[in-house]
Amino acid sequence: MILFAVFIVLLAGYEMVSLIEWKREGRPLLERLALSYLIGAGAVTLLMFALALLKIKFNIWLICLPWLILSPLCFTSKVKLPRLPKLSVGEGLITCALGLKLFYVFYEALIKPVTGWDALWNFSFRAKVFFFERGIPLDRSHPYFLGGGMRQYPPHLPLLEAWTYISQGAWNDAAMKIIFPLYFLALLIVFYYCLRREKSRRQSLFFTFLLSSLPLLTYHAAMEYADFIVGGYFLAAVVYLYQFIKENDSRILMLSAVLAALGPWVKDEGQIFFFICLLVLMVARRFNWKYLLTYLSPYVILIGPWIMFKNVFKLSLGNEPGFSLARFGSYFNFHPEIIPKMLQDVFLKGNWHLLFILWLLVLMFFGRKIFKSEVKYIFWTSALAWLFFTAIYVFTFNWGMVFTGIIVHRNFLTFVPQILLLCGLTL
Amino acid sequence: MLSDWWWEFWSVDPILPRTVNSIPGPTLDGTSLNLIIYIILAVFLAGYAFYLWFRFNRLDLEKLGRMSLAVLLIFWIGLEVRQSFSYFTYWSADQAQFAGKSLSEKRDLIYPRGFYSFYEFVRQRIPQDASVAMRSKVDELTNIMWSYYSCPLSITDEAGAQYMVGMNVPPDPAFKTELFLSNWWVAKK
Repeated sequence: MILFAVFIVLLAGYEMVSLIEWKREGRPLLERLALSYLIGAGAVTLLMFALALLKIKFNIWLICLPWLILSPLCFTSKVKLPRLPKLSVGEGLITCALGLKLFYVFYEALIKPVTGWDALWNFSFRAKVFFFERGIPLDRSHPYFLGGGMRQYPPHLPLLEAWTYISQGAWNDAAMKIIFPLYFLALLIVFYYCLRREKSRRQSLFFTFLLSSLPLLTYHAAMEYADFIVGGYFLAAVVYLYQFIKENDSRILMLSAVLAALGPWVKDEGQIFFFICLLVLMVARRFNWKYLLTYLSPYVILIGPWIMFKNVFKLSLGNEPGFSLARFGSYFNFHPEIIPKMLQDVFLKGNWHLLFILWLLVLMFFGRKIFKSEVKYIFWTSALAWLFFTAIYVFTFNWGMVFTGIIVHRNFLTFVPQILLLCGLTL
Repeated sequence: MLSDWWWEFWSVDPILPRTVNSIPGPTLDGTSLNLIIYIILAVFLAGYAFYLWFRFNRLDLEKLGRMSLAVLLIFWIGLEVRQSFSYFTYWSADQAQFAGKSLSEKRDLIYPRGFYSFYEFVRQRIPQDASVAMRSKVDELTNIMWSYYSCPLSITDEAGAQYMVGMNVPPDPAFKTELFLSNWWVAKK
């Protein structure tokens, strides 16, 4: 039944993508499925959130029915069916290496139940509450009010996990973990097709393999954390923003906007990533009201209710439960000494293979080419994300977590795919 | 010395599976391998730049860039081969530990080992809607595991509880106690 849970997510996403890309043809089936997974996961959990707000108990048919009714939408646009390509020896080897990596990630995820620290006390804990309560406990006197854990965190991941339990009719926290490698697979597919639109199959496969080889990404793909998932939405939003900038098709802009808006539904960092995408769009299109409103509309529709919910329940932003913007002054710190520590972590101590030096070399030797082309917008998304995290470390109470090694690498997971995408598109 | 370096290179990443906040990069004799690669790259880059300058009387930056990136990517592949060895080690360890086991058995195998059996022991003795109080002297992770497994059981203070659960504390003679182990027990008040 876990496959049924995945099927409903894909169906919901396929319908949403068909609606967004109304009668647009030619997107490869695999890319469409990857997009369906990303958007469908958001659609299903938003529906569950709406049911919870209406105090309607979660029920497998209530969650499935809207998507089954809307299924004719799937036939509104044609996709390019995959053909078995003739691969060269090099391409075959890279495909095998990718296949092995995917096997490893799926195996590691599915062989054991939840083990991640943050999952046990937060994400998967809340999922278990939502499953047994068949909803989100909204009563303040309830011992598991809002699911417990980090109540201010967006409930996307716990709701998605709860959906897998509901579809199985049991709390099976090993099978549930299929959602993580599927996010990883979707990330790789979106990345591959972005490159494939401009580069040879061999180069696209090779850079996709490089992305899959990042050790921290591989480990997180088999764990129950949200960092690389929010990064997946950020990457996908950037990929389709870039495609929009090149092709000027407003349906693709809407696709990017929806993906960017789903980021804040996964983790609060997603709010910043959304506005980074919006800023890049405004710079690329010299501030245009039509595009501004187009991009903002999914954010208002999809994330607006969650922001209102947070206000009603007085939930704070980020990882500090008592945090409020009104008391920002008391959180202000200034710790520039974390900058060398951060650079040492990413260039020398952490295991990112040679990603950051590759980025520097590409910028050094091909900088002129990058800044003359649209690829510069991809550069800006990752540079602004890096800048944002640096500012958070230097100016807020988060500086301490840089020294204890908790925060930097997990934050960087959210934007490193763009760094590799930039390299792949430039070479 | 070379033999030491060889074994250090192939050492498996020391990762705590509970919380992967970062993965330490490989080292040689305690020095970051990345740093060594950066130095080799810098030397190569300087040498190749000299060669291009003397051979063609001009410095073709794009050619220089492509060659240095090709060298870098070879190192990357080398690092990935090393990393794959780590993955293989984890995979074989997990295969030996978890394959063919039921979900309950798997839960029992993760740290703290045997804890899920204790939870099952408690669960069989406490009705789902009962209120429970805890006495515990365990590490933070064991407490987290208890919360994760026991939810949505209603945990309350001792005064209002119908049942008591003891984790690593001696049983209270005032209650009728069932022992899982000498200091791990469940009692009806």
